[in-house]
Amino acid sequence: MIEDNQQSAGTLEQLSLLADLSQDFVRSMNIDDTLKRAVVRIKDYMQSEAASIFLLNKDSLLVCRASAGPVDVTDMKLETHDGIVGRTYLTGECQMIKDAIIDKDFICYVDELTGFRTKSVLCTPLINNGQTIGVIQVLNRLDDGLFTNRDRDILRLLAPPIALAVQNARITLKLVEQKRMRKELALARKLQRSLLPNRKKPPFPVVGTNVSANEVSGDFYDYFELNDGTIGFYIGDVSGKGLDASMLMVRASSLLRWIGKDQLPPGQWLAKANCELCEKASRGLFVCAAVGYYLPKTDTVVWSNAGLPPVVYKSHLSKIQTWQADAPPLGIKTSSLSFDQQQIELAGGGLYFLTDGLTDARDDSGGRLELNGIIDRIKKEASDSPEVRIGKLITFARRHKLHDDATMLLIEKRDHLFEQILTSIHFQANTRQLKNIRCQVHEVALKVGFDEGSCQKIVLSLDEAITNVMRHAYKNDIEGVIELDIKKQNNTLVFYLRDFASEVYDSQIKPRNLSTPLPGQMGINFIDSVMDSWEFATPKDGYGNLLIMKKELT
Amino acid sequence: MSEIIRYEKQGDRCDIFVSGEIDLSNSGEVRKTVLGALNGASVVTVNLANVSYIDSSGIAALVEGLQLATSKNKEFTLNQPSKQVKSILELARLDQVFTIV
Repeated sequence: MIEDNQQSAGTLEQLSLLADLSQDFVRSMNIDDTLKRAVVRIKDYMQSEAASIFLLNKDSLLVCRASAGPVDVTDMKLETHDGIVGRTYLTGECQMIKDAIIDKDFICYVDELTGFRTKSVLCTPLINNGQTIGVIQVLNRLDDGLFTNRDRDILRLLAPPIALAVQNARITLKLVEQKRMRKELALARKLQRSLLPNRKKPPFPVVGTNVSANEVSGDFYDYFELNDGTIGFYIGDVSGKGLDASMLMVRASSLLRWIGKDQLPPGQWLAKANCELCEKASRGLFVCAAVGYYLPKTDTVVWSNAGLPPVVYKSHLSKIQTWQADAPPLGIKTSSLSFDQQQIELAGGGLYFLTDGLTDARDDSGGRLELNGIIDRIKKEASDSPEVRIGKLITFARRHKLHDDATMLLIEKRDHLFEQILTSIHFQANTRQLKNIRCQVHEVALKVGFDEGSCQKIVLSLDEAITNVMRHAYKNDIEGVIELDIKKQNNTLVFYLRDFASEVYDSQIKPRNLSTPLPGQMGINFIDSVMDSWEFATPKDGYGNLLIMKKELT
Repeated sequence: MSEIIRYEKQGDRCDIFVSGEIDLSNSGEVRKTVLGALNGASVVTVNLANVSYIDSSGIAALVEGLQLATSKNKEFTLNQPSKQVKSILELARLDQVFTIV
């Protein structure tokens, strides 16, 4: 009877210790502090002289993360095959040693170094999801110096919550790290987008557009006007992906802009940039770029191309001419490379510069678009304004699978822009607003001359775009604000849909394959079928998203 | 009953009548009714004659209905879709997928 009572009291104590430890683990995410408290409690409860917890680190060493007793062995590292702790780790089984000195695996140098005298040892593995992640060790039972089977069972009972807490803390740390990385990537993307130029209204003769395949882009372009009216431009593509490539992109873009303003001939412009980039070249990274000037007085473009796909010219009679790259990419070879340059009078035609993300876009069967695919498309887009044409080309490439960033620059004379604001609506992201917005869009579309069928399709596209903003950008938060501006620009109806939600990565948004009917995701297909082109741009203040959709007037 | 949806049940058959404009604000209701009807009846029709507007969320509710009907071996038809509905079904190439009478 007395024995029974003692046993129940013992069980109650174990449960209480287990509950205390578990609660402690839940309360704190600082795993080292929690393990330190746990190891002291375990040492006392097991009536032992010392206790420690070893965890496997990323170098596959067992590291003491917490220790209690006369000698602090925290940070001590052991190979997984070292000592009784190593044996416990490798076998995944409890080890109960009466006299450590005669154990074949005992490491006596630790005792020699610390002055501690190890007698009895009790070790149990920390196992989570079938994987051993560490070991708890208890040394020298205080009373008679030997651990019992009951002690072993108690330690086995304490091990699972400790293993679980360690794993939870690691997952939490990983999540925090991922969150930080996402935030940094978003910042890097914002910085990159800010380097892209603002759209310039016609008659400015250069239009450009860029779609990123990943969070950060390796492509860039820019243009600027010089005092004499000459317009400088450049487009580039940094090899590789990820943050190092994006940092090089920022550097290359700034460098090309800085040199270009000296109005050096394009060949020299590239040669100078090449020297600078080679000086601080990162291994395996290089930059394909084309630079040039448009001279309004003579209506000519002069350029040099280092490693980008061929430059394409389409005459006003739709005749195509191409020029291969004049030199290898920048940042590879410092020697006195000569950079040839080309020249053409535009004479009503357009000159297209592109990065290989466009020629590399794949169809559903994996076939590449190639330069010919792009040229065929350039030939087809005959009558639209340069801005609409380039938008359509990007939309076309987006319908294929983009494996890389895709960027395009078009140099062509543009008519003066006759812009008329047809309507400007600000509203909350509440689905109850949709009906009213549809009415207003229908009215505008009808007024500019679209037939009823086209009006309905335009209304549908706008409704889908707004619905996407409500559902995906604002995640159904009805407090979000949406702005819709509808403008008539020359012969095009342009819709500017702006929100103030977190930035969306536009390469993720593309039409789906309609051959398999699935509920959802049809909205983009509707927009894609109805509009001549659509693309995302960064709003001028750099916050939120701006979707620009264009429909040529019939 | 809702302003935009009403239904008639007769034995093993359920006829749903949808009217007005179907968008994100009320497509959930259409979805619920369609899926609910398919849980009971083995023949479900959705009459779309009086639908003046439908967006992709409304179409998605109908697609879900079709998928549930197929998985349960039930009959699911769209009746007299209005001109607007027809043009959207064609745009999404769903006119070849649904049974339309």
